[in-house]
Amino acid sequence: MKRIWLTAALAAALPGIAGAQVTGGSQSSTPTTGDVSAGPYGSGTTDANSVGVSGGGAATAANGGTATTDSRAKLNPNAAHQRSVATARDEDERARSMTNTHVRKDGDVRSRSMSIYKERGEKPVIDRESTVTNADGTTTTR
Amino acid sequence: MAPPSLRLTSMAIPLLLVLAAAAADSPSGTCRQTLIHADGRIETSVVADDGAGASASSRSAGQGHASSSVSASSSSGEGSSASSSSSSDGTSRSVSVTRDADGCRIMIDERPR
Repeated sequence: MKRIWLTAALAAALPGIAGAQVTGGSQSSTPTTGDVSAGPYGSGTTDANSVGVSGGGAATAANGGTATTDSRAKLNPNAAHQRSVATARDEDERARSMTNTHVRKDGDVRSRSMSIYKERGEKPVIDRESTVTNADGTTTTR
Repeated sequence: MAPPSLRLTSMAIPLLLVLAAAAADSPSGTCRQTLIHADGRIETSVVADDGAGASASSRSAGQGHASSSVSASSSSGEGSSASSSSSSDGTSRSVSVTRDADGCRIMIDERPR
């Protein structure tokens, strides 16, 4: 149900070297067994000279349901933030997923994702994931 | 600032009723694209740069499928760039708006996938 991908690119290969590029991110998705599903993703990268984020989301609703996605990114020379929300619903199912990624220049890449799937009459299925990729290339996942 | 360019690649007959594309070098430096399809699906992409930072947003809504993506980056000496894209049928059409040092660029890609 959940796929988490993490990359500590050059920072992992060159630990301790100032200016090494750090890349991290996360993605999540709701169960694909129903008629609706939603899955956003986000990633960020930074080094001593640059900062960047990217992300998005996809939502699918079968049987005439509705799907929406909303993705936003914002940055200044020292930090970047990205947020994506994907929602799908039909008459008796709802799926909603969201991802937030925050990057500080030459610092950490923090990303967290959450997904909620709810079928009428059933308990919601909630999935959360939080990752932090430090400047030295180490990644912590909760 | 270079004028915005609009490229429409149409390998399939488009079903959209209204295409409202506005890419202007406004004082705030905003590029905006709204695509309204015949079946009610709406895709919106906005990219802005105020000199101190950049932002991008993308929204897609409709029946069946929706997807959107954004990216923004800033590099010392090279300034910032941002782009956003959206698709509401998942198979054949996407809209992307990019803003960088060259100005606004809007692309509507209708190639079958």
